[in-house]
Amino acid sequence: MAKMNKKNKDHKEQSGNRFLKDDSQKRELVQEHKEYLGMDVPDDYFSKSKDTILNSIPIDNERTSKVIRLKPLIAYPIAASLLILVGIFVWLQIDTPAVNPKITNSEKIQSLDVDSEDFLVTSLLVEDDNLDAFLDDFIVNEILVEAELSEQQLENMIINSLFIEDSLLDSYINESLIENIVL
Amino acid sequence: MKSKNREPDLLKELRNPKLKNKAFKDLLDLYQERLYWHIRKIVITHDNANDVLQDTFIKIYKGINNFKEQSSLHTWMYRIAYNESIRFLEKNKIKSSLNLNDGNNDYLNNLSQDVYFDGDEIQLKLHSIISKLSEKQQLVFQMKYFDDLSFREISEILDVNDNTLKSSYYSAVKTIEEEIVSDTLQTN
Repeated sequence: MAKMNKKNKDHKEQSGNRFLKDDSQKRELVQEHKEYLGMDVPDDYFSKSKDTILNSIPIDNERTSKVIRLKPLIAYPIAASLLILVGIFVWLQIDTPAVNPKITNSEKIQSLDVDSEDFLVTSLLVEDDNLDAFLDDFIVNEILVEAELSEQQLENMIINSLFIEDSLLDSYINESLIENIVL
Repeated sequence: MKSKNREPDLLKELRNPKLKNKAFKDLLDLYQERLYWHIRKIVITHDNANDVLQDTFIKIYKGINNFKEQSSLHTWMYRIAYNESIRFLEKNKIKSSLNLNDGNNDYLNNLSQDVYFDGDEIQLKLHSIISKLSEKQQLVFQMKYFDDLSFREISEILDVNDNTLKSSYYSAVKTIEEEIVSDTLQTN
């Protein structure tokens, strides 16, 4: 008890009306608690405790995502641009005529008519020496194709007629024949 | 305090997933010891304080993104440490310095049985005097006197009015002084 009294007396002298410890004498927390409260810790406790705590914290949050997430402000315009580019690409693919066209519809027939008119104009510009070759090309590329078209249309007509009721068959054949002859 | 000045930067780093682990290590370096002693004075023994300290820092790590900055970072951590200490005592039905007023000596018994308590007669006497204070007085006295926290910080941690805390603290100091003087006179 004398120890405490002496200690208190010393502290009182140093810090006026306070006792036990003086605020101006900052000490290590371990020393302070040991000296005034008798509480101690194992050697190197705080270093070991730090490792224990770090080992016990959940590490799931630390995993870095392998998926790169773009900010919406950047991602949406990029996605829209890509969609537009893909759309243009597909549209151009559909719009481009086939290299080896197979005539199956009436649009091609109309284009053949236009080509026939062009033929007359173009033939005026062809030299006499090349005229035979030009005619051969026209026959092969235009007239034979048109003939093939007519044949295909006839086949289509027959196939379609199979789905028409008997009562309408006659009129259907007549209409189809007229169309075919006109074309 | 140097550690308090670092808090804003530390908080930003703790909320950055890439920097969180490094910042958490820094946080441990800065506050581990202070929180340990705060806890130790409530749960008394080293082993119990060690358990509560780990739980406290795990809660801090998990809850840092929910910290709303209505108080400073260190007072928020002290509050977690205090709550964890009380929860630990209730869970294990341990008598602490805070509930000794029912007249039993469990606190002093636990203290003397702790292998990491090597206090002599004088220190036991001080514990005995502190244990006679009310729960609020004990907390305020220890936080102010040993943990060097300001009344404002204690107010934030315990959610108690500043003036009430000051009143409790000075009342506790007066009681302890009177006990010491009385004990001194008896000794002489």
